[in-house]
Order: sequence, then C-alpha cells, then structure tokens
Amino acid sequence: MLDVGHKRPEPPNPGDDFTSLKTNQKDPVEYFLGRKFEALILPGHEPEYYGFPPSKEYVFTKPGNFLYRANGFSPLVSFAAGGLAEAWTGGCYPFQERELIGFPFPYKDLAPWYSEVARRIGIAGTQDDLAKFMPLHDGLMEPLDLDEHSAVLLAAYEKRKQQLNEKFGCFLGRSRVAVLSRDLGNRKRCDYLGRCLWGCPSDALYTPSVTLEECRRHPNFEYQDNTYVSHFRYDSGGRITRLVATSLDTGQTHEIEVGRVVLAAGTLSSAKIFLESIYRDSGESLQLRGLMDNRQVLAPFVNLKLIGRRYEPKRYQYHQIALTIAAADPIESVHGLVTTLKTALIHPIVPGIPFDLGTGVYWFRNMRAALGLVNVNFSDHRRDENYLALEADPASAQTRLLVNYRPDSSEAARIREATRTLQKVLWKLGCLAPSAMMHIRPMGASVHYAGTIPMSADSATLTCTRSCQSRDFENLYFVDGTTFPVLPAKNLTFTLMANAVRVAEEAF
Amino acid sequence: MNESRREPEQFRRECFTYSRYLIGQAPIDYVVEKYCEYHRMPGVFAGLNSDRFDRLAVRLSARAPLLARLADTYASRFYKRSAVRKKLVLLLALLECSPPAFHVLDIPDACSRPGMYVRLGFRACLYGVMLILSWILFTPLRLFLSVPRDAPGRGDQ
Repeated sequence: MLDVGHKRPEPPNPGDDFTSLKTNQKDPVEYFLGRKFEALILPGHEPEYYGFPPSKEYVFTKPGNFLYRANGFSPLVSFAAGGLAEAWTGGCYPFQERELIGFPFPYKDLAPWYSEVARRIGIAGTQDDLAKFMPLHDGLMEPLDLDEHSAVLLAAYEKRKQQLNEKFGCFLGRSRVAVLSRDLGNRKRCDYLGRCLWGCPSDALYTPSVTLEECRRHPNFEYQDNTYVSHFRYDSGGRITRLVATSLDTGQTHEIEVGRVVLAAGTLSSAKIFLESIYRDSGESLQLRGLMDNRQVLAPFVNLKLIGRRYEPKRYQYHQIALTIAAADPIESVHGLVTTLKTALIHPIVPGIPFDLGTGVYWFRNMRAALGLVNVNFSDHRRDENYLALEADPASAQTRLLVNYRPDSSEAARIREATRTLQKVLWKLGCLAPSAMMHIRPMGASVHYAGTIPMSADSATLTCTRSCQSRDFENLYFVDGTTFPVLPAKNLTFTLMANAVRVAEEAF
Repeated sequence: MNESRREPEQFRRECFTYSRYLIGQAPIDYVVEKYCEYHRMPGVFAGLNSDRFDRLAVRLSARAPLLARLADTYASRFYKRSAVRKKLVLLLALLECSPPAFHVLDIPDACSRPGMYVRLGFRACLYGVMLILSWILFTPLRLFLSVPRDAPGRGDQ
C-alpha cells in the first residue's frame, strides 16, 4: 500500500476526561487552540458552529504536490493514514434497496457485507423506528448510554409518535455509530470521556487507521508511507504497468511495477491520479462528470425543558439520535443526525447569540444543557454540469484539479420545505429552532463525494463494472466514492466500507 | 513612552478588564500570558486595530468592565468584526480552556425553571437598554473618527 499517511499524534493523558484535560495539562490552550491559535474562531469567519481541533490537523494537511481550484465547491481532501474518516463522527447508514437504484446489483448482494463490516469495526445500534430507513444487519452491539438531553428528546417522540409519523412523515430513533459499547479485540469500550472530537484515546470510536494498523501486522501486507502517487503508466492495451510516486522524505520520484491497482484515495484524489495518468500519456484532458455531495443544513435548537440544567461532560460527545423525514420516493427522504451539546469549545458558539458577549455567556451557561444541533443531509444525483477536470496551474507549471459544482434548480425549495418541517417537528418535541440560526453549509463541506466513474451495467468508457473494475484500464479498481451512481441523503462511509469488502471478495 | 513599550501593559489591562466583564473574575497569569502571546504573533496586532474608531474603542473598553460592556454591546449590532469583539472572543477561548475559569462557564445559576426564564428575560432587557446607551455614546465618536484626518487643506492646494 502506497500512502502519504500523515499520522495521528498520540492523545495526551489517555485516562483524562474532557474537563480533566484542561486541569491536568501543562499548556491546555496549546492543546485545545493550537500552538499558533489555529483553532481559534474569531468573528468574521464562516459561521460554522465548530472547527476542527489542532489534534485533527494531520487529517487535512496537504502535500504541496496536490493542487486544485474549485467553483461552487469547498473541497476537503486528506492524506492522513486512514483518510478523511479519521475525522468522522461515526454515523453508519446502510442504504435501502431503493437507494441502490443505478447500482448494477441488488441490495441482497451488499447486505452481507454490512454485517461483515459491523462485526469487524463494532457498531452500536438497535432496532427502532428508523429500521425501515436503515435496514438492520448483523453485528450490531447494544447502543451506548444515552445522554440526558437525547433521552428527553426520545421520550417526547414516544409521546407524539403517531402525529409526527403521520402528519410530518418524521421518524426518530438511535443513530448507529461506529463506537464500541463493549470491548472488541484490543479496543476498549467507550468510557465516556467526552473527547471524541479531539481524538478518542481508547480507539472505541472506530477510525480506518485502526484497520490499517491491523493490516500492517499481516505478513503479506507492505505499507510504504510518505509516498505521493501522482499518476500511473499504461501500455497500448490499456493495462497499467507502473505507478509513479514521489518520496516526500527525499523529493525523489520513482516508479513501481504493478499487477493490479486499487485506488482508494478518495473521490477527488483518485480522480486526480486517473486524469493525470491519461493527460501525461496522451495529452488528453478529460472531464469526469457527475460529481455528487450531500448538501448539509445545520439547525441549532433549544430544548425548553432543559434550560437551567447542568450539562454532562462525561458523555459520548457526538450524535446519539437520528431522524428521517420520509418522502414518497425513499431516495428523496431527508436524514439528519441530532447532536446534543455536551463537551465542545464554546467560543465559536457564544458570538452567535444575538447579544453582547457578557449576556451571551450568561445565556449560554444557563442553556448549554438545552442546546442541540440537527445536521440535515440532502440527496444528490449525477449531473453533467458537475465535473472534475485537470487544468494548468500558472504558478507552478503543474496540473491542478478543477472542481466544478452547481446545485440543481430545485435545491432551494427542497431545503426550505425540509427545514420548515424540521422546525415544526422540533417544536412538537419541545424545542425551538430559530430560522435565523440555521446555516446552509457550503457544497463540499459534508465530504461525501461520489459519482465520477460510476458502476454501471452498460459498457461505456469512464464507468466501472459491478466489481468496481475500470472499463478504461483492465487492472484498475476503485474502492472509494468514485463508483457510486447515486447519493442518498446519508453518510456514505459505511456503504463505502461494505462495498470495498464486497469488491475484495468478488474480484480478488 | 513609545508604542512598542506601552503595548504589553495595554494588553494586560485589556485582559483583566475583559475577564472581569465576561466571567466576573480576574484572569490567572497563564491566561494573561496567552493573551499577550497571541497579540505578539506576526500580523495579529495590525489585524485587530483596523481603524481609528477601533483603536479608540479598545482603549476605552479596557478602562472598566462597564465600558467593555458598552463597547461590546455596540459592536454586537453595529460593528461585529470590531477589534473589541475579536479580543473578547479570544479571551473567552482562553478562559474556556483554562482552570479555574472554565468552571465558571460550565455551571448554570441555581434557580427554578420559571426563575431562570425571568433572569434570562431580565438580561435580555438589560441588553436592550445598554444597546441604546452604547449607540448614543459610540455613534457620534464613530462618525467623527471616520472623517479622514489628512483631508486636503489650504496648504495642500
């Protein structure tokens, strides 16, 4: 395996909870805000409600070789060991039968691999009202202990379930999360330290670097890090013969002979390697059409029943509840993850309260336990106007990836309708979600990129077989989002994993 | 005293006054040092004092917590990217990471839910009053200071 492979820093004081980390570290400001205060969010920044902490900086550090320009899109790429999911929040959504429309295989061909991945990585969840939108699979662990706010929300849902189901098409339940509720192998169960965002010190929250470490213990697995693969070379028969890579230690470029190549660099980085290879060989500059991503809307809310309560720092920090606003066609349903506010840095949040900061701090500390956020996802479809291509970078004489995205014309209306329904649902649950606080995240922010070389039953160029084998290069496979022909309003990571295992079993 | 020698003392004064304004306590030395460290970073200080009104508002607000509240209240509506507001958010970030200040930010008042609604409402009303006062105080100052000092006079003709 060739990888740039930036590594996660060792978490300090592994036994400390979030509060103890502030007390027991010599320089807590450096840990939470960074040596150069890079995690400080001052007024004037984009109104996100959280930023990535310095301990996750390694996930987003790019080598100088990777250049891009984006229109209508805010791309995130990762060169970390484990990739972008090193910074995920663990949400595991299986796709439904109907959501696999466009995939050249039915749900039953993917279902066993959801179970297999769940057994390998550990997923906590249960059977509840969301099972009709998230098919049940084997390998689920019992759910994590609920935090107080999430329990209050679920209790309110149980009381008004019929009305919420029938009038609004809204269903609530436990989110399925890749977190251990009991020990698995060398990994320990979640001990509720409240440090999820800063990096789980016990690896109870699964990240792909856990699997990478397992692979590295295998005698047949060779891992070469600090290596940037720019492109591949191929023969006249369309067979890849060599990878061209640069050592980031020495700056020297070398070539590696290959039999079969599996690209899993993420949709954008895999596309860059693919396009660069063709460009270097033939001078041809292709467009990969059909780029997709989930639009996300952040909807903060206040639970009126919990104002004045003390917040619980020793809790699982991320979402424990999910909701679905069902549509007639499941692929148009809207799915959201409900995160109640527990441990978090508050300085990005308080300035959003429409008072002076003194009053804002007063309101915040009395309302903290009552605050929450719904992260609403919207589906996307492949459209020709959204594409990836290469262009010359005038500053460096290298090529750069051009990312072009334009939302479809119905998007604004879909967002308006869904957020109105969401506000009504939250009101029924005893919560107030002010319209003025809602934030439509820029396209690209969800980092659910997909669709540029889709699996297809038709034998066309720039597509893949059902085994994710390229139709342009016979010994090339993709096991990232590149091959997904549709993108429901769900985090796709779990399906990426299941699909990768399916491909490994089918093709290798 | 030249500007560079005066700055550390000014930063300390800001840090003490703003901390009393935000959490009702003086900051510990560690927080003061971090506050000054941030201002010593290349390019930061210039970015935090973009115009004459900004500079005056910072100097005024550092004199007393009440003046800090007035300056911040004005900025909350009419100048959201002001230096005062940025410095206050910086200090809030430092306080929330540092013992013992973060405890103050974590604990709600001990009172019943109706009592809490009353208190929150009272603070919101107080904000409204302060907003009117701050507008009366700072709007003329801002207008006056927005007139360019080096406007061409007779000698320039």
